[in-house]
Amino acid sequence: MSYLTYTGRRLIQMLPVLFGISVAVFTIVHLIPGDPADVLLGQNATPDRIKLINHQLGIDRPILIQYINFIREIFHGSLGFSFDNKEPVAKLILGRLPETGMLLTGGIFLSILIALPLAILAASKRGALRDQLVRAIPIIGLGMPQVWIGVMLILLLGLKFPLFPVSGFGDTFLQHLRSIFLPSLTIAILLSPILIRSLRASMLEILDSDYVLTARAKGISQTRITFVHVLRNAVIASVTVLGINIAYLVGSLVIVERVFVIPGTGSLMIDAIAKRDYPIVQGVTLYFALVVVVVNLLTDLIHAALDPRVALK
Amino acid sequence: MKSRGKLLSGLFAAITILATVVVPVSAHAAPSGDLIFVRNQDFSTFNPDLAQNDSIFIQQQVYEPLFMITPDGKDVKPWLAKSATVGSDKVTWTIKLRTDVKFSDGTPMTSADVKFSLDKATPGDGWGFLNTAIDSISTPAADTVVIKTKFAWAPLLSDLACFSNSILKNNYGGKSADEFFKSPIGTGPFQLDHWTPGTEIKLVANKSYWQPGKPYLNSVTWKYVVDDNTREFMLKGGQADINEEPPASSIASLKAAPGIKVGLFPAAQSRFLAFNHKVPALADVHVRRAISYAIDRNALIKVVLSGNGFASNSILAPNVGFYDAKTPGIQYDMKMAAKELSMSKFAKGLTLEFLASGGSIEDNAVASILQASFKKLGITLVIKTQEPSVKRKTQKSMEYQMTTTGWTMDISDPDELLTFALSPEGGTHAFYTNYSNKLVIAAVKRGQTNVDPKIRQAAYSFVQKQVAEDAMMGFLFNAPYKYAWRSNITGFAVTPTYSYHMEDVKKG
Repeated sequence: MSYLTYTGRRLIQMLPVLFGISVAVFTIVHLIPGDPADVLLGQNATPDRIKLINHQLGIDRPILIQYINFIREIFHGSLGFSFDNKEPVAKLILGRLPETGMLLTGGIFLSILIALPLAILAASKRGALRDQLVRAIPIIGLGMPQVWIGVMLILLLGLKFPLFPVSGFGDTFLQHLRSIFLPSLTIAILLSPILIRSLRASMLEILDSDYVLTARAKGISQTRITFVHVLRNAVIASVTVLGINIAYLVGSLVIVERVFVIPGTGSLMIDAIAKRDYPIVQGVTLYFALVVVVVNLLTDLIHAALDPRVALK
Repeated sequence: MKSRGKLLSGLFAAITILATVVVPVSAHAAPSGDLIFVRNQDFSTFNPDLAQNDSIFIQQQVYEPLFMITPDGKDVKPWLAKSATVGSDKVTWTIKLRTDVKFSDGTPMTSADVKFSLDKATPGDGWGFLNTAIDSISTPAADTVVIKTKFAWAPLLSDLACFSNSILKNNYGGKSADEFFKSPIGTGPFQLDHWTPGTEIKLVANKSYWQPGKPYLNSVTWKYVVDDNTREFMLKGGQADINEEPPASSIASLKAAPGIKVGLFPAAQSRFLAFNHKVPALADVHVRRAISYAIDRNALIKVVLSGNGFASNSILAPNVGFYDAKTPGIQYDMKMAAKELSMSKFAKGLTLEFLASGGSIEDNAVASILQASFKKLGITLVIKTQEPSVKRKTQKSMEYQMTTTGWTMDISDPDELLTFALSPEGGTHAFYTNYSNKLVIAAVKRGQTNVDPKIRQAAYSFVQKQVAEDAMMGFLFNAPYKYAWRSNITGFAVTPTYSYHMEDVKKG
């Protein structure tokens, strides 16, 4: 099967998945306790006023009608309109994408930057002290909550040694880069242990393979064996691990954005939940779901491109 | 030597001339300094009728009312108005306007703007209830507004000082309401620069502002930062100048931090333990009084406010007009609690339910303190926890037994709270307690409809005494407004009705 046909088929397969997600998202959002009008109007709002606003927002209509309206707005491309500021949800999400995109990219980039040398170092001599030390990193790294990591980084690199801003996103591109360093590092500290473990394991497996033995017998240097013959092949397995964990990272982004005051889609989601702004919660959840589905597809495609043994079916 | 002397006297004369020229210029110096607030609330609207705490303080920098609440929070003073007189019929109010007030677009404010603004605010969905007494508004001259009320209405000037009665440009400056509220025009010291929902709102100095030399600041930005730690880090790291409402538990450490000042401003706000009088046990005044006696308020203040607050003794906070310090508000006394319970129909013990808000420090503290006291009285306390907005819904539908609630005054006159909490006209079943006392309702009415301060004080003193004796709610505590700012910020103060005058603030 050609690459293009495979991609097309996978995209079509995404449609029922997205439909299922839309039903699940809509149902879950409407199960959130609380009344949007009550949240909008504040503590002292009278029951009559709450009733009026609920009617204006259309949330007193039958649930099926509300779902049909939700689907209609998806096809219109607006994803509905915010209860709070009446803006189209799609516009609000698009407005927050650069922040989330930069943060995610920065996090992945720093993760790779941390994971690669440490995995190579560990795999270079199995069982040695350096291997033991590197193997300890994932255990420590995976045990730390992201909020705590974020706060510690702020205290150290934002206040004690004020190298980076404590929070915010900045106004210029350079300021953006400086601002997302600490949140990206927080993500990297969460993600890199998984990458280190996967990459180290793959490298050790390949180092034991026959073709590496042949290469050594041919007198090829250890550096060339590591970088050209071992690392290139070990990376293939790690791409899948990275892909799966990017999906998990979407959830972490919500917390990291909050701690570092990055106005991304995660912050949009949290605020919308607090305000019971159903259209935004539905829109962002759908968007996150779409990201996960697309990342999984891309992972499969990249894996197939890197490893000719993988057949496209 | 002679020429040097001439030179010196010439220099002296030049400095003197320069000084006389420069001093007046510096007195009207251009605004300077960009101030950054960090707060855990996101601005939501420029529509005064829909404003909640997230938007009120910011709106007040853009729009102004005819009268302004005094710094002690108990009275009002003329602001965009010059004076107000009430006729002998007690229903005709003549208000003279300042003639030097301009909107941020440079056009002068006239009586037409005032009429438009008050007409819009009066039937308002949100705060229109404050203006229910207004019958008509006329504009006999560009600087005169005549307001007729349906009946004698003492709180009128206080009502006019509320942010909901801010003066907007007539006919929204030719725009639709939605367009206007996206780029508002007011007479306040600042005007909108940009607003990014979920991130920040920035106001810049209004160059047409009517108070000479003000505002001192070039701009003020309110950044939305939910995390308490991050706000504190931003303040300490110099990324923010003022931190709004830091947690009570951080006040001591902030006070000790170099370069940081902390302000605990007296607030016209109170916290209460609401009783649902529909519940048979709580319909018994002795049970309510017993519970009120059983609340260890000092312990509560220690836990919830880290000691920064004081026990409440009245339905009114001490900073509200007509507060009576002699009100016999029930305080912690376990002997009296036992005595009151023995006088009730439930002397042999009872079971009550406390509705707590999930994750609320205050509710957890109230629950623990009540549980400890109730044990001694033979009352079993069941704690039910709900998500905050669900809890509010349960409370409003009167499906609770006891829960915490609170109030912050928006005007200087007690009428706002007393009508809401005690009168059937408030439309809230007496603050969702179902309390009803005909004498109290009559006294609230007497306070509304008499302009004589002595008669009003007598009426409101009676209301406070009776409500306290009836233990309509348990009065818990009064907490201050908490702010922390960098020490180069001067002139920052918060009024008891929770607003601040950013035109008086300087950044050194």
